[in-house]
Amino acid sequence: MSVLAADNVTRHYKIGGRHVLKAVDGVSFELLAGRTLAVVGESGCGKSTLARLCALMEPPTAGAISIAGKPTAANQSLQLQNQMVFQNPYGSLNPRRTIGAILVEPLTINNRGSKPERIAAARRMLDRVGLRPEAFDRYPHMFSGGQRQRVAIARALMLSPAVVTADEPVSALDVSVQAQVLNLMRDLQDELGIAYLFISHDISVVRHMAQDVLVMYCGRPAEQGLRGEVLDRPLHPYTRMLLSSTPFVDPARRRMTMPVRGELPSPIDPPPGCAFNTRCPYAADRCTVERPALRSVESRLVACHFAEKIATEAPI
Amino acid sequence: MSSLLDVRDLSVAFDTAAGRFNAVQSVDLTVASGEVLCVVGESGSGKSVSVLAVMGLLPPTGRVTSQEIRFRGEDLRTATPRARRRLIGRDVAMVFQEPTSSLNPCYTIGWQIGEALRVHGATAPSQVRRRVLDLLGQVGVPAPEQRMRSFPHQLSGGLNQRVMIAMAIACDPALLIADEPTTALDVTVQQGVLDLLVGLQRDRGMGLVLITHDMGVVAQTAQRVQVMYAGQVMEEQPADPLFAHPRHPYTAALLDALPERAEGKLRLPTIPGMVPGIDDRPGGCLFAPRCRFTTPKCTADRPALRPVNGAKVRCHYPLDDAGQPTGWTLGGST
Repeated sequence: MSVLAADNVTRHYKIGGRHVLKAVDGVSFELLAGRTLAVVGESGCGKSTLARLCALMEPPTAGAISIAGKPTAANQSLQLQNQMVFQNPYGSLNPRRTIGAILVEPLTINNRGSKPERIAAARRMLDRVGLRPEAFDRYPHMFSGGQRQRVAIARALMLSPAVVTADEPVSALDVSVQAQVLNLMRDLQDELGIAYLFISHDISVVRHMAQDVLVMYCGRPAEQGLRGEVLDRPLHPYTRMLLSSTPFVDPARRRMTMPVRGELPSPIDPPPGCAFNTRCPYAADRCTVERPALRSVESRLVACHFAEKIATEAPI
Repeated sequence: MSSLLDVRDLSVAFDTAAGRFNAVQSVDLTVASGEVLCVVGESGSGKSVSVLAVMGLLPPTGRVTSQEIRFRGEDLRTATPRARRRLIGRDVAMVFQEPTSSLNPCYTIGWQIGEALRVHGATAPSQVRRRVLDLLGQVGVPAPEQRMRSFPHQLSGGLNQRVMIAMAIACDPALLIADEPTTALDVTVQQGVLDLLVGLQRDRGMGLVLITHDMGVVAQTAQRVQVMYAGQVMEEQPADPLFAHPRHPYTAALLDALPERAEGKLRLPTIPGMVPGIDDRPGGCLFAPRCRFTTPKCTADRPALRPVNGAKVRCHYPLDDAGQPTGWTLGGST
């Protein structure tokens, strides 16, 4: 069952009246119940904007989003079905409210249950995310980053959403704590059947968490499909570049990686044709004039003129 | 290889409202020329504070004590502030984490790189200009002629970090300290900056101290690794054996918690609890509350850093090649 679907979703911003920033430009995907779709890409590729659109925090300029099979355009209340967890738990929790108040608030706003029921639900949730009962009356500053992220996850789950959109949920955390939070997110998924839209720049975290992967570049999808296809046998030169620049945690595999050329172009004025042509080792004349369409090649979608050629080459 | 920096028994304490906080406790740090030392640790492990103390860049509230801080044999503890300033920025240079906020937004990057040259050896303007262009070329900034007139906000994070590196190597330092130089950068840019740092280090025979929390960065760059936890060095080893046979249970647990080492597993091995904070540092081994091998001896007795199989380990029961603690029995020591 599709719990979150994006159909050609686009978000353009007008900058200074004259320029248009195409933050998200024609992204489509379907997220099924109980699964995790990871959106990966460099900073500025539009992945956080996509998360905000899917959480209905702002409307798309074109395209449609549906949650639980229903179109969201005329039904803002579907927002309750998609809750967010933000990157920085030091900024996303109100320092002047207790953890209990933070957890009860979504229920109060939406008139769920009586006051004692809300408090009981919040206490159950605290236990569920592995925090001690005392936490209920404490303030965010009394907790470490990992514990605060547990609170943020608990808050997102208070309304029993079908989808949780997590925007870089572990990138502000230390490795030892990151593992705890990732395990918690998986346990909650197994238990509650929630789906995650998981925004991350960390390929190793994505590989561990997601079944489906969407790689974005300059607001557009570069490659998308099952994790095993996209990350193990990438066909877009950009996916290959991302993977080869992720360092191995093994000094024996230290290598001169495929040198990364150039940097992310300005999103206000992306290069014509394929936006990746300025950095791509395969770029040909065609790439500077004709934007490659997203098409199906070897059981995934990829937007590259040379995907078939790359498929015949040795994997990276 | 001659020793460049020798630090012995360095401690840094801060007086806070909650009492004295020992951010760094009895850390030894040595770097030779031509060597890449990685200092790795989680937040709050004291890795940045220890090098800031060596550089004299801590605020006055930081109390620094040490047996020895020598750079090329010269004692930095007794050096006059003037002598120290002459050294720092010229012979010892530093690159910081967040390039865009480390650069001055009001001056062009050409001016800022030139400033290092002017302060440490006042050359003629034309010479400074030529040298700045040369430096920008060396760190791989495209179109240096135009770029030197740019302001930091006009450049990307990756380019700004290259500018910071150009500034650091302007006076041919013998030792370069880089504090989380790639943490704020995308992976695609990170690799380029690391290659640049290690390339410069190799070509110039510099000593390089790389401070990071990222084991991937360590694996790609380090010759020797110091693992820090809660202000102490827990383990020190050359890079290859560290990743193959970590001797301290903390290092082993940290490596196990990495998603890339857990391929195929549904759950990641975790380290329970969290890094002890200002008021809950245990009396014995600092890692004891989170360690799977803790015995009463660990909670009573703080272990010393001692040599084991070519490594230095601060543990009563260092791990053997199979990852098992030596001399350990359930519930106590032999």
